[in-house]
Amino acid sequence: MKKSRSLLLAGVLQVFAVGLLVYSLYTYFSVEFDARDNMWPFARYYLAMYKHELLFMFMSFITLVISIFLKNILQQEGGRALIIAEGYLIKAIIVVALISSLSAMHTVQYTNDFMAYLPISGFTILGCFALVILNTFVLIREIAFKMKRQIN
Amino acid sequence: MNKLMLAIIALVSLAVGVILFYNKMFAKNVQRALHQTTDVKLPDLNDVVSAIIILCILAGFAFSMNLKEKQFRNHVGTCYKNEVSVEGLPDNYSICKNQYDNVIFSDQINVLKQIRFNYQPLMDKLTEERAAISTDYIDNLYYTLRQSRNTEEEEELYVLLAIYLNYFQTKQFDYIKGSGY
Repeated sequence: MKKSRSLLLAGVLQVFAVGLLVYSLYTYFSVEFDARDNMWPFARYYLAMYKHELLFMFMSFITLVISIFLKNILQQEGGRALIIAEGYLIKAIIVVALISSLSAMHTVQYTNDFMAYLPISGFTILGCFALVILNTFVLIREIAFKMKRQIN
Repeated sequence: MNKLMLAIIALVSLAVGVILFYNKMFAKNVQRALHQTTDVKLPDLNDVVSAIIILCILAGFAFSMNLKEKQFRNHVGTCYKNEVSVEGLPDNYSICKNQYDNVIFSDQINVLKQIRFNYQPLMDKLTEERAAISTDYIDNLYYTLRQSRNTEEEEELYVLLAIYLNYFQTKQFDYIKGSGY
């Protein structure tokens, strides 16, 4: 198979999507789980986690940029629509993470109580999971398209 | 303030760069189309604009979250009473009382490294020998030691961990109480 920019970018996008999924699982089930389980004051969670939250948001942004570059070079039929759907999904993940961090800043400023924190960061796991499935679909279709064209 | 100015200049120059690049590439693509060669596939401009807007929002959030951390550290980490003594605390740790009358370490950020350096064998021994109460390493040690402390070293570690945890409270808390002013 010839080297292809679209396949390479789709592969990189898949790596980032899996990375986002792993990172969201890590942040939710390690530190946040510990914090809720041990009734930490919210500030302790915030000081431990805010850098991870920022990194997660910037990783989502890089994923978005890759999907934008991929949008016009995909060769499969209907691939553009799938990438547009992925773009909306990544934007939804960023919005959830932003609301979560806004709630975190508010909580650390006023109450310092975990019960006041909006527990929506779990939704990023679902979003990342959907992103991985959608991108796997795009990647398989692109590989199939290339192989079909090579045979013909 | 300098960082903020640099960030604004970087974002504005990024936007201007994108506009100039698209203008140039549009002219190039027109020429290529006239000569019936394949054009350069660029990302859609609406996507690029939305990406720059999202980048600006993220940069703003990064700045404000960082600021919130500094504000909190100033809020609870400022010492109000310096001459404080706590029973069972080793001499080489500097402590004080904050505005909530909680005993805290003067150097909270690096103190955990120091505690680990001094008490790592004991920490490992406690983690191995006693049944786990919590999934978090520090919490597990603290709750384990709160249940029972048999040696002087264990008592010291308990006091140190209790003072470490005091820092995050924004109300008066009785993890450990110091005396003196």
